[in-house]
Amino acid sequence: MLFYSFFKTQVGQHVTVELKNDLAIQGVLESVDQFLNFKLKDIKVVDEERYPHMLSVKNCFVRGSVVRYVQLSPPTVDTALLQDAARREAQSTQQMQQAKPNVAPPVA
Amino acid sequence: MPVTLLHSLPALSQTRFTAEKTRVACDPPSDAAHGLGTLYIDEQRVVFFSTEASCGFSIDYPTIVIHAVSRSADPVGAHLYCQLDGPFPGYAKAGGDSDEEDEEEQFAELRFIPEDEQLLDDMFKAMSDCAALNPDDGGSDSGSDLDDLCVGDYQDESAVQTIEEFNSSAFITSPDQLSSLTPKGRETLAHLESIIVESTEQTNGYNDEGRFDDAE
Amino acid sequence: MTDVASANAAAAAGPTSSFSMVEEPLDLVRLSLDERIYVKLRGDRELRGRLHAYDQHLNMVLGEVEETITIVDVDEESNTQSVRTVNRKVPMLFVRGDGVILVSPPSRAS
Repeated sequence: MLFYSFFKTQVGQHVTVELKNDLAIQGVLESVDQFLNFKLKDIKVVDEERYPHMLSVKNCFVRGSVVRYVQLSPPTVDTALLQDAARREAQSTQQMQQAKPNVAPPVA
Repeated sequence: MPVTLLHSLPALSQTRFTAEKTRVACDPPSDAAHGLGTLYIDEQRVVFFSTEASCGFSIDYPTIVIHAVSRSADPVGAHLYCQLDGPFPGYAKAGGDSDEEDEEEQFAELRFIPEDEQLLDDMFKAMSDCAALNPDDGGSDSGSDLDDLCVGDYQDESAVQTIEEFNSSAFITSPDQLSSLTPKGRETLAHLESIIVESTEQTNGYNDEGRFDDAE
Repeated sequence: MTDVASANAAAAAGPTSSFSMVEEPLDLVRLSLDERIYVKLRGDRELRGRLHAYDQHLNMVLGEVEETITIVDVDEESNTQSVRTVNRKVPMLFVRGDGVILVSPPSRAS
């Protein structure tokens, strides 16, 4: 849950969420959940001409699975802390993987 | 089926929010999604149904890419906006099937306009909560490891082969065997492994959240 | 359901070592932390950037990112293809792992 924790530290920051359908939404991150669904506020659609219906939208909920990228503001990201957290997450994940039998699903 | 057209109201057991006298509009327009009806925000899906017209539709949550409250200056009035990940069924008929232009690019935008604007925040919250209850994990209907392996660029055959290799003693099991691989082979292995790890996690991982809480 | 079954199986089986190789490729990614890596994504997208974080889904945070999108234009009349690339730079980027096809450690990142 490294990135869930990470995005919680980004709440209140300006981000640009780019979706797999090429829609890009700028806004302030309002909340995030464990599936990396995002709630944004004060949003602005980057390509407004293609999405006229979103002009009057101020807040939105973005489904995590449709996200391709999230652009972040570098000063808000503590990269050393992030790298450290990634190493620790890798360790704990590895321990969990080793404790788990590698049972593949039956192949028909 | 992500969006299903209905001719009778399905049994709904876990409805979080009901908005009667709600108008719906679809862009591109669809005969199946316009007019007045009742919006049901259920834990399983979103249902819109008009009793008078005996028709409506239901949408699975993974189909809804974005939902939002749209309030100011919109000519249709304040509404709940939903962008879907594909076209609305029936659109091709409504729009004329002479041209198959950019089918992949088509996606529908739905707007639900409640009679009472005050309901919008609760509608939005109910839909957000229900969306979070319905994460998608590769295959929406079965979610097995095999399905997860088959997403995207990979043909079914190669995915099945991967699993067999993974099970059999032919699979590389020690580091010195790995060193005999070509760089290309290592890249391939790295990718296959990443898929296997990911799919294992998808079936088993999400209930183990607590284990990672110290990652902060 | 599945989760419960696997959890029980895991508890019964205890730690196993025979498939420790499964973790090896992700170890390569771990060793690439703070290095510039190359990432290939679905949709003919490629990224080069400094790896700051990743998880087992290959979600990542990259810094000083260069993105290259390859676009193939097909001229239907002459039936010829022309390939062009679009580049852009992004200072800090979260990449969702489900679009990742390949991660290459620094030695092969050009």
